[in-house]
Amino acid sequence: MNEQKIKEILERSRLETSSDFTEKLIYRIETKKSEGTSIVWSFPTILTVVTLILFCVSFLLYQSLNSRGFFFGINRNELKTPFFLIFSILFLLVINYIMKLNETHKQRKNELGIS
Amino acid sequence: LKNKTSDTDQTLIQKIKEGDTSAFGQLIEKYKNVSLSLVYSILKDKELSEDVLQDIFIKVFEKIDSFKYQSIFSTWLYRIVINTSYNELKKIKPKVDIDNITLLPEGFITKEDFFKVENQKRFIQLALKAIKPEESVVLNLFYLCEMSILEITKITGFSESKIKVNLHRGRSNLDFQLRRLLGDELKNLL
Repeated sequence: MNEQKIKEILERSRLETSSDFTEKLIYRIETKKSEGTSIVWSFPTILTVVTLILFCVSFLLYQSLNSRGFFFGINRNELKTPFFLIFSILFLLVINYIMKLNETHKQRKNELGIS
Repeated sequence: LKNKTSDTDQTLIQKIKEGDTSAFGQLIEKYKNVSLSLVYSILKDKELSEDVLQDIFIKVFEKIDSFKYQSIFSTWLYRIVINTSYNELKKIKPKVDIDNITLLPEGFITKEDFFKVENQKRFIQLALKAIKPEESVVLNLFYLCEMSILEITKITGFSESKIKVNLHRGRSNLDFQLRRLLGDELKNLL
């Protein structure tokens, strides 16, 4: 087989990308660019930080309610139960919100094909 | 030997460096098909090659600031294409053994099949699939990208003698595989 024929054969064999190749690529690049400027999402870190903050707040609250005295005319000791009930609900709501955000983030990444 | 990035490429690269993503789109359009052929010559799987090529172009976009016009853009690009494809090949080698796909099915082509251009393209790709990656990559760089031996040494890191050997073996193996696949019909190819 001569050189010219090999060249023609190889030119004939040239592959073509799928029609949406460039579009998909530019979309991935644009997304990466915008992600680069947004906050980096790390679920374990965010969860740990939020939990620590909430526990610190609860500890300070516990210390403050343990001391004797009145708060807006109500005995501080009597405020313990309602305060901790509200605090527990708030804690669960915050964790639930972070988990929902994490799910949305994962879904978005899957849609864009970003690993 | 070409020693300068073309003016069109240079303008596009400058625009990309200034943050113009659409200019990168134009650069992709120019190089995507040849790059895909190069990736395919190593990985031998079209779908995988397209996925790998997407990652390659993202890498190129991220690294374009480091391109200082000291070499031709295509040489720089193809070096990334080939290095990344070989790295990918190392990862998939346990799953896809290239040596096991060297035999082509014999005598399954009918005359009606043969004269369709799309089929001819498929037969050539089958023959190329049966050639070792380093042979088909050198063939593609030499004949498809019209690169000189010196440029191929820069892109692949192979020595001049290794390139010449791979070119010779590649030509013979392509001829052998096409004869094996097409038999007497080979003379009617193209």
